[in-house]
Amino acid sequence: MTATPQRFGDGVGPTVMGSTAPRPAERVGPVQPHALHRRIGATAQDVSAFLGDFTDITATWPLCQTVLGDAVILLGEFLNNVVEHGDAAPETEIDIAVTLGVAHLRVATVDRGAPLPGDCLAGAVLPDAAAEIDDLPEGGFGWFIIHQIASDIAYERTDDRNCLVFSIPA
Amino acid sequence: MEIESRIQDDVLILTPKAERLDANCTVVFKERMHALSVTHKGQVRLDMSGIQFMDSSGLGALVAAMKGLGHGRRLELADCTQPVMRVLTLTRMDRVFVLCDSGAPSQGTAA
Repeated sequence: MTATPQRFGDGVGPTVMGSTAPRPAERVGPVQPHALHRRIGATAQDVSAFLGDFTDITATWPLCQTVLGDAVILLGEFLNNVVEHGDAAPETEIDIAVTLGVAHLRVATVDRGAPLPGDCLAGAVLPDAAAEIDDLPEGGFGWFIIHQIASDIAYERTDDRNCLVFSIPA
Repeated sequence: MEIESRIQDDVLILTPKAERLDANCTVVFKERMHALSVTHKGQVRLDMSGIQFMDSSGLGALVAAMKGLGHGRRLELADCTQPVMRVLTLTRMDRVFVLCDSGAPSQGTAA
């Protein structure tokens, strides 16, 4: 026999029809964690829309503008990398989870695009900004920006999925 | 992406009517920038005050736009917002463009 003890205000007690008794005080539960989960299509439009949503939602999180701004930059670089270089079909989806920890913002993404080249995880070299105008690079900044902002990057290829986790110190 | 164009004291001032300069719009941005600046012989200034977000693709588009000016002209970026400055400084490309306030006289590096 199982008996579930019932506590006042736990919301599962018997309902008193037509009761005029005062409602139990609003329960004070654990603080809602700051977390965000999204599934988006692997398109530049979806990434752009997600970054807008992310900015709106995280505006109320207890983080300074610099960290939030860096998070948007980092997410944009990584997600656009999946869209542009992952050879993902347009209907492919990217799962994104962002959680606020004690001292960091944690980002995890899963996609079914092409495997990440190993060298982009090891680090990135800044294109030569001292070059003559005609020789200046128009690309190659993305992974450099990611490595500048992310404090750690962990990557795993499981079956046909890329799982990437990184943090931003907060 | 719509870009407003006007000339003030021989400086071509271009103002993108967008909040984002990112991978989603760089192709159109580069085409519009080229079309608007190709006949101008003097300095070109981009009013960046409305751009609230720029990614590495947007940065690449700025470099492409500057290359398109030719004659060693450096693109002037006026009133960059904090998020744009962050990307420019992270990549050290803040040294490549001429950063200025919208009210400042042109650096005039054209030959």
